[in-house]
Amino acid sequence: MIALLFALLTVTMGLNYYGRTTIANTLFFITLALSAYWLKFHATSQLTIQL
Amino acid sequence: MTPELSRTLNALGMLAVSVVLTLAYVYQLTLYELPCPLCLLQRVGFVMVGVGLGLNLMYGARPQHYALMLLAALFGGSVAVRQILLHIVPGTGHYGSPVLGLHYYTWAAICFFLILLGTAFMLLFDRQYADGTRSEPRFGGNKLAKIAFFIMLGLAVLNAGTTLVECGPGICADPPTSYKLIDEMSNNN
Repeated sequence: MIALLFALLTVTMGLNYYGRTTIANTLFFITLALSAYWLKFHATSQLTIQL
Repeated sequence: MTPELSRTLNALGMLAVSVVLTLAYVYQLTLYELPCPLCLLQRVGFVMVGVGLGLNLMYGARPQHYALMLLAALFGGSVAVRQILLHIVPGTGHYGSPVLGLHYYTWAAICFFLILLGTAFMLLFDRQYADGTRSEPRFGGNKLAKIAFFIMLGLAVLNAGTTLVECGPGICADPPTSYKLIDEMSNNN
């Protein structure tokens, strides 16, 4: 699912390039929220802590 | 600070972030050290910083663009610090080989701190903000800015591809031991 974050950021940069900055900013914040979710998920998983 | 100088400095910042992401690839491929999920999230933070820098390069510096960079650097720094804390107690091991005595996540924390510092410094200069009434071409005709933007865009695409190969469409293995998608494809054949 982290690949999806990179893909979303690529689309964000593409939208910014074509001047669709409002949609791009929305997408940026969606990506940031998803990233925070995955940070919570991975940073508190038992495997990561045991590593 | 003139808008043109600001654009050039932002382009240099973008190239510096690109170098960090490229070095991560060099170590990944030469030492066959697969990035862990937290390492990948730090790379996400660097690309997010690239989004804010890209806006400054294309449309000129604005406080809003710097705000995106600050948020991105705060996120990336949080991930890096979390990973440092996981290994801070002696005997809890580490992840990856050290580079110049420090691990990747420690370097990442330093880089995100420098990005925060650099962005705050850039925000000090009011005269860099472009006049909104004047329409200028994308990148303001600055070739360095254009090159830096497309390098970062390429790195974002590359990261999406390699992360998909490493983790597959699901949750990333923690710790990763092989490229999951390649394994699945070779098992199917």
